[in-house]
Amino acid sequence: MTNNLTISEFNLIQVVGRSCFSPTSVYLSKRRKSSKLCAIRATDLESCSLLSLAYIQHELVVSRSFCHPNVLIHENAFVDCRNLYVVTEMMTFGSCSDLIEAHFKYGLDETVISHILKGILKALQYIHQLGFIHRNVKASHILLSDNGVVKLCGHRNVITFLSKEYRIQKVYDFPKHDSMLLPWLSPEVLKQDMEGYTSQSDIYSLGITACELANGHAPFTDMPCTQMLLEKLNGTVPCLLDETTVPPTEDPSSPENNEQQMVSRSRKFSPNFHKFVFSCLQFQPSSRPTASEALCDLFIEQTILTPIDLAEKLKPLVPITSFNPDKDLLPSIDIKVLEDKIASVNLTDVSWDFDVTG
Amino acid sequence: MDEQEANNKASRAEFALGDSEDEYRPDVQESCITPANIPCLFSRVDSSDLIFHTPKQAKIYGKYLFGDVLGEGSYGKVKEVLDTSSLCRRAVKIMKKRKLKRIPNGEINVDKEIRLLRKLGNENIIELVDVMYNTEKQKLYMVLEFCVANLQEMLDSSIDKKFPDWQAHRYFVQLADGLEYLHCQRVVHKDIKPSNLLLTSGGTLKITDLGVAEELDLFTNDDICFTSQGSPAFQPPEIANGDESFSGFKVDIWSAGVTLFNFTTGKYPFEGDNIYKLFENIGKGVFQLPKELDEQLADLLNQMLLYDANKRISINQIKCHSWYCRKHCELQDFIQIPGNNETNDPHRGMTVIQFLEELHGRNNDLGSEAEKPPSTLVFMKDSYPVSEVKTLRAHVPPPGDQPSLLHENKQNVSPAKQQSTARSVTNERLTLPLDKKGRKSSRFKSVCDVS
Repeated sequence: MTNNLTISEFNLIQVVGRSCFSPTSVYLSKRRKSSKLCAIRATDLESCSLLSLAYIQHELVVSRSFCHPNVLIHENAFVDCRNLYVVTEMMTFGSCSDLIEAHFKYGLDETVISHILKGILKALQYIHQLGFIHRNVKASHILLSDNGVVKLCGHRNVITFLSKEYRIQKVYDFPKHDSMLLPWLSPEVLKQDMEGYTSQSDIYSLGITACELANGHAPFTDMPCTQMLLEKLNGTVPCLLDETTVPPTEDPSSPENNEQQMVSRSRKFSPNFHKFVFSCLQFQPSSRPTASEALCDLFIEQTILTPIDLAEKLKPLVPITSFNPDKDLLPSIDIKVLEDKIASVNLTDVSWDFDVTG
Repeated sequence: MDEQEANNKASRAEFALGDSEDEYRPDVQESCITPANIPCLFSRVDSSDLIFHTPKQAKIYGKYLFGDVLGEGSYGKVKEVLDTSSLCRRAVKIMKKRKLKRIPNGEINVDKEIRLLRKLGNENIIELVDVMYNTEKQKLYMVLEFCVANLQEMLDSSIDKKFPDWQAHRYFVQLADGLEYLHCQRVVHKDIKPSNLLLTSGGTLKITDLGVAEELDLFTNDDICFTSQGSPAFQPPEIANGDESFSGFKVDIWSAGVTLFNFTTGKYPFEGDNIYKLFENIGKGVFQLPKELDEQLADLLNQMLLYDANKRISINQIKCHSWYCRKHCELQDFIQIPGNNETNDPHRGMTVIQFLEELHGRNNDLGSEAEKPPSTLVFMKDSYPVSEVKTLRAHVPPPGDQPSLLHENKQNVSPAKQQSTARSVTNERLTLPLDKKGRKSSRFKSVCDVS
């Protein structure tokens, strides 16, 4: 990339996210020339560890080799002063885990989930066809925009079947630097034995993500990771929490009767959704559908019959860009200027006048 | 069981006579027999029951959960461990100070190995992840990358004890890469042999055991070494002849040559009924290549096993050799890594699962029965204090006590290995036979607490 971009060509409007893996902040930004909105990931290279630096570089290389409407690809990357800036498209609804955190504490609507999973399955189908395994499918890596586009991001753990000399059938590498990811990993990845794993492990992660989107939290996150390992190797299959899976308790005052349980008991997911999740979470990788097969699943196909208005379904949440009523975000005023203005307000001078009659 | 029966009967009788005035009803009385009202102090439990019902106790040290033994050497054991925070499989080399003292240069070598491994970083060299030192137990733990098998094991599992050429080539290329890296870092390994070459589940070769390696001085302009403690069958003529000084890098080339010879023919170029005869044969430097051997391979072997170390091929020349650069047809079947003999697991899966079951299956309280060291005892890779190893060094026997290279511990050679003396000499340094403790036929277990 031989462009001579500098950060001065962009207007960093506000921080919309942070990475837990490296000293990275994501900014909602606008290109000064074209007034086009974009997201900029700024990484402080000075305080970045060599390990996370290697992962960031890997992510950029991988991102360059992808080209698909459901995969987040960076438009530009440049170093300015001590920061690395990666410019990507702005996904205005943020990540799915943002949505869960902000409003949908106990999960999203089933139609929304099927729409999201369809997009991710298309992304996985494409990635698997190229001979890659994503290994990082989770709600926080699924981005949504107000026009209903779903994109998969977080490519730092992508691994390829194409080795130096020959195409390999299976991979064996264990993502040992990313313990946050463990609940989403498939049993065969966790086993780390001579059997290895294939792209089917992404389908398992997708199944866990489906539970995460529907329940509001990922399965196995409420226990020590060693227990999670044991449960997965023993073949425990997580499920969607609704009236069919959460049995009612007679005693209304029992501690089990918390809000999550109440919500779970009052809803019902379609049998197709249950079946889909169950098939993705099979212990045997060969029993799970491939990405292409899963796209033909009844649960995914229903999206064709009933197209949804994502923005409508996600209400009361609104895209980050709609906070400014006149659409054109802070047209002439810089954040800096605003900050200066606020700083110049002298609060001590204000004298209150409570006399309303006068 | 007779004793128990008798006891039960006795107490039953007592019961019928004393406390209870009910009529004798065996079913009811059976349920009343609890340790509280039986005056017996112990009862017999058959060992078969015991072994079946008592789970092995889970052991945690630092953040590592211990699994089965992977290998055993004169220095101690190598066990599989699980990093309980990242869930990554690791191997830990456990060294007891007491045992190290008995091995010539034991403590110095361990100190050196840790220092070297911490400095090195290459795809084909084993990675040292963590070092822990337990002062109380006088044990040193070296946490290493996990590898599923070593090449000696794979050779042993194959029918004619050799690899097809293309498989041997795949490993040899990685061995050359690893050696080139070591030599660039001024490190002479001195103990290259199949059992020191490990394989990850992905098939990457890792050179391990830098216990007898030597780091050349930063300011020397040659690779002259004076000592060698490697395995006899892999030693070059200059060492077999007892030369005072020799080229270190060329020692590794020779050992790699013997290793390649072994990979492709299943034999050793030099053999001998005992170490003296073996060294005599190596000293002569005459060996036979099987006639059916590939022409280019024979040429490479001849150049690697050249008597004159100065004329012996260098690592750079090896990398330009026609056999090395050639693409090899995958005609014969690949020798697979054999399964785990102990657990009968063809995929060599985690052996810590049984302990995880104990930790989480019975009670969900992780670490309740686990042995946890004081946190100050655990040293991460970056904060590992050198002084801890220095204390080890202080107890090294004076140089005069060091036995010479020519020591053969015949008493340690297992019957199976005595059949082929050449083999036992080959593996002398690394493998000692396991002495498995026989289990007693029955044990007594205290049932009642006397106090």
